[in-house]
Formats: sequence, C-alpha cells, structure tokens
Amino acid sequence: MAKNNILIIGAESDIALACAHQFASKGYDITLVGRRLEKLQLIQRDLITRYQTDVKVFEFDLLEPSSWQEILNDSTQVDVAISAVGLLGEQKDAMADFEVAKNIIETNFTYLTGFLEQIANKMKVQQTGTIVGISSVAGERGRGSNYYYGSAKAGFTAFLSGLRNEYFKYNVHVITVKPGYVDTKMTKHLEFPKLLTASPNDVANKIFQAVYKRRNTVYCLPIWYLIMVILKSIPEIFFKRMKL
Amino acid sequence: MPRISGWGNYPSIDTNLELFDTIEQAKSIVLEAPEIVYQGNLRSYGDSALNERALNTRNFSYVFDFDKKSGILHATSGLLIGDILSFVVEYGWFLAVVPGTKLVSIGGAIAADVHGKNHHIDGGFSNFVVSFNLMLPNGEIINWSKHDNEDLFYATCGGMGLTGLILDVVIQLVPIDSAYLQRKTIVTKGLEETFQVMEDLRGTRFLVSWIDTSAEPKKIGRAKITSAEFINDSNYNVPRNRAFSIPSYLPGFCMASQTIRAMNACYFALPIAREKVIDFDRFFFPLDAIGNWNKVYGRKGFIQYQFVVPKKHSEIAIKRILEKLRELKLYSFLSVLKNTGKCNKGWLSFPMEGMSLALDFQYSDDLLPKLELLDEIVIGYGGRLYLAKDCRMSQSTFKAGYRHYEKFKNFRIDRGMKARIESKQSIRLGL
Repeated sequence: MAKNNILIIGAESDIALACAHQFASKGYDITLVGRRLEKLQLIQRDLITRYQTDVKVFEFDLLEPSSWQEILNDSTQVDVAISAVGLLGEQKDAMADFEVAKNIIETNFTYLTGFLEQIANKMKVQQTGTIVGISSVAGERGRGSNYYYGSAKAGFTAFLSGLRNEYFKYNVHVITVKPGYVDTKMTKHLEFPKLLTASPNDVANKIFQAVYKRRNTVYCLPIWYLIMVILKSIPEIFFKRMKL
Repeated sequence: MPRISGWGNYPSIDTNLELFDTIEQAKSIVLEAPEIVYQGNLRSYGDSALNERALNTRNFSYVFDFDKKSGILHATSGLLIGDILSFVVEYGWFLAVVPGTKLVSIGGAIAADVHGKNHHIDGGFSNFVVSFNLMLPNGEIINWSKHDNEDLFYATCGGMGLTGLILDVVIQLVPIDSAYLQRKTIVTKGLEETFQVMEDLRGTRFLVSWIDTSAEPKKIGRAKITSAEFINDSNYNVPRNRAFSIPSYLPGFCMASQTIRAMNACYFALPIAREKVIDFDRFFFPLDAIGNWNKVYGRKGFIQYQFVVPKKHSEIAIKRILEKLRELKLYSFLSVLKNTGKCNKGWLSFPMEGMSLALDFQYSDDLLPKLELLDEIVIGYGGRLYLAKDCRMSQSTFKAGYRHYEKFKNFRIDRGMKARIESKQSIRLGL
C-alpha cells in the first residue's frame, strides 16, 4: 500500500511540529512548508532519522503567491493538509498602525484562504483529501483585547465551514480546529491557567483522531466548548461593558 | 511574563523567557543578554535553572543521527530522554544512565551529570558523552570530544549549565536484549539489614531502595529494596502507560505529616511481588505516570533534599539523619536510598562512592532552619548536597562538599562566563 502523505503548512510552529511527529510516527510521508529553510531542514533530518519516512521541505512565503506554485505543482498526492499558520500580532500596534492590522488579517485570512482554496482544488482533482484548518476560539466573538486576530480567525472559521460545504461533493473533507490556549512559542509571553491549556502534543493527538473520525469541528479541550457557549450567550448590552 | 519554578515549585520567579529553534537564534540571544540562565525542561527541583532572564532549550529538540549498529546518537540539547527512548528501544538500545524521570533534557542531564539506579556500576550520565558543541557567551562554538581539553568537560559535566549553552551532543547508547526487566524486591526490618542487603546486591545493575522515614525507632531504616536487570526475551514492545495527571495544586494539608506517616505505613505494608517482569517505563519512571505529581505538595511547593555521604561513614550518617528527622518531626514520603559508585572527574558532579538519600519535604517557613541541621550532619561526615535539587544551601555548606568550587569559579571568570551566565543558585553559592 502506498504511504499516505501529509502537507503541513506553517511547519515551524509548535503545533505543526507536533503534528509532523504524530503523523510520521503513524507511517505518513511528510511535506513541510514554511518560511525558514534552516529550521525545516533540522525537522526533516529528525523525522527521517526517527521514523524512516520520506520528508520533503519547501520554503515559501504565504504573502508571496508566486512561491505557492512549486508546492501546488508537486506531483505527490496530498492526503491530508494541515494549516498551522497563525500570526497573533499585537492588538495595540494594530490599532495604531494600519500596516500591522493589515498584516494580521492578510496572514490569518486573505492569503491563507487563497492558498487553501488551491489545495482544496488539488484534492478535488485527486477526488480525495482532508484539510485541517487551525482556527481559534478567539474568532467566536470579538473582544477588545484581540479583535484583529479574532476577526481574521472568525473569517477563517467561516471560510473553512464554506469550504467543507462546497467540497463535500468531491470527497474532500474539511476540519476546523479551535485549540483554545496552547503552550507554544507564539504565546510564551502570556500566562494561561493550566487547566485550560493544552500542549502542542495534545493538539496533534486530537487532530490525528479528528482526521480518522472525519470530525467537522474540534475543540482540543472540551471545556472550551462550554466557555464559548457561555461567552457567546452574554447579551451585547453587558458584553460591551466587560473587560475582555 | 510567566512565573517559572523548578520541579519543586519553590521558589518561583517572574521570568523573561527566551526560546530558540536554530543555532542562529540562540546566538543572537546569547550575545545580547547581559545576564541569563540556560534552562532545559525544568526538572531540577530548586533554583539552579531560574533567573529573571532565561534561555530555554525546549524548542531546540532535534535528532540529528542515530546509528542502529553502533548505538551512537547525535541530538540537540533540548531533546528529552523520553523522546530518545521512544525510538531507540525498538532497535535494542537504551541510555546507559537514566534518572527517575524521562522528562529531563539531554542538556539538563549533562549539566546536572544525572545518575540513575546503576551509578554503582555505570557511573553518571556524562560517562557516556562522546562529544558536544558548546556556545560560549561571546557566541563562539567550541566542539569538545574525548581527549580534547579536559577542563571544559570536567567543568561542563555537572556544571549546571554555567559554562555555556550545550547545543548538541553525541552519546553512546548501550545495547539491551529486551524492554523488560526482572525485578526483585526485598523487605528489610531495619537500617542494619537495609545496608547489608544493599551491600550484598551491589553487583546487580539496578538497585534502589525506598526507605520508611517515619518508622518507630527500633524499626528505623526499614526499607523495600528493589534490584533489577534487563532480561533477554527480545521483546521491545512496551505498552504506553499513562495513568492520569494531577490537574491542579492540591491543598497544602494533603501532605501534612500525619498523611505522610499514614502513607508510609501503608506503602510499607502493601504487599509486593517478590519477583516480577516489568517494562522499563514502569521500572525507571513510575512517577511519570502521574502527570504533575509535584502538585500534591500544594502551592507552596516542596524541597527535595538529596545528599551523598562517603561509604565508610554512610551507615552512621544515614542513621543520624533518620534520627534527626524524627526529632525534628520531619516526614518524607518519597525517600530513596541508593548506592553510589566512584565519583567521576566532573568538578561539580554530585555522586561519590557511598550512599545517597533523597527526601521530599513540603515547603513551610520553619523547614529551612531544620534543613540546616541536616546539612551539619551531612558535612560532618564528608558528604554533600545535590545541586540539581538544591534551592537553599549556604555557601559554606556548598564549599565544604565541593572541593573544586574555586577551580570552577576561576574557570568561569577566565572564559568570560561569570556574570553572563548566572542562575539564582550560582549567585547564592558564589559560583
């Protein structure tokens, strides 16, 4: 049986790395896509040594669509594609400087959705495939402390839901992952309550299960579902007065 | 800013945490930082990996090469012992030395020159280091390999990360014929018998004993002694054992002295198979099955007190310590007695030929002066305390136990390490 191949986009992130190990240990061949070739090659060597699997790397800049082509033209079948792209950004800077705001939105939404559409198309031609989009609970309701990141992720969540609907008929499945707090380098300066915080490995485990069970939307820790139900049910008249 | 502590959850400090995943990133942080501590996976108990500014190796975690024929492994410092075992065991290789947790990073294992249940046979972790690359505070990378500059090796092994940032390491693994061990357990009635049995079993590769620190005086030092050897059934498959995790700090009173006395009595009375085949995971790392077990001691944390005393005084010294514990009403649950073999040449390496005892005490304000009294006994018999567990020993206690400290300190000054690489511990001990 031919080995399955997984494409990991934003492969330098902690969650992506954990996914790479998770899927490689289950016998997948891996394609890593990211910005820093030096790091991708370190990961490549590691995965090959540990799991004796095939690992390809592509350096690319999401915000530079000309760099997408090489990946899209690659002849390997993409069975699973995971997007671990995410730019948290600084809310305060985004409020003061449109360029910062634009970068947050373009990275988390505009260019990412454009790229994933192409991947979905590729899967449509293959007549099989699963796309895993890592979105965020921050997209469930806009809050004063991170509404640029949050609204971009809200858009991304809506995009994934639309993609799932559109490509269902082509046997292409789409999974939306909302991890909640995860202890990664993106959030290293923040302090999260331990009970609400997952590790990158927890997230990778969840994603692996979700791919096999063809889940639609996944919260990594079930408690986040509850928190979001509560957060979304607060009437706006109160919500706007809260410090969130 | 995250508040970071060692495994003992005492002390903790607000930390400006730096992570890196390539050598380039490490270099820019190392060069820029006026004073910084290098930390691994924070499994040392006290303040040896703490400072206001810290460079953590956890993201610099890669396997470079693994030769299945020779058992030579090349990997970066942030890789955990558990990560290594998760892929080398199936090829019949094992780390020669593993501590009581597999969550220790390779860098940390060298920095603390960790020891295992086989120190009396195989020595410390550093004995199996073939070469390493170390980044100095000026960004220069020194490659050390056996037969090179010995000072650098002796300063770095056991040097608590104070000589530079360990980047990558080549280590020699040891062959195994199974992932399973044959474990034998002997229950003793008192200290004399405990020592006798430990001595008789010195030839066994893995040897450790749990000692009941709250036994009544005439049973003082009674123990459960466990010895083990790998078997040779060529079975390298181990089921993943992950039981559960302590979700949050338990209230402090959970580990009050009465509880510990009751737990000790129960644990001692608990029937145990005299002989059993057990997988390596459960034999070497039983506590890793309980995630965050350190939280049972509550928010204030706990102090692990581990000392070693030379062989000729070890029985009397440990007897005196046990009596002192009783007198001070100090009770420890996880009390581990181990044979230690000859010390290696690491300047600050902990083990010396004799006996080591590790005790856990819940933190309280009156604990510190009590521990000073234990220090006096340990030093009096020529012993010393383990830097990887320490958060409170005085400079004089330290200097009494580690005769190479002056050499270590001068080495640091000469190589521009002093003032650039500092932990709360190195500052306290004047390293």
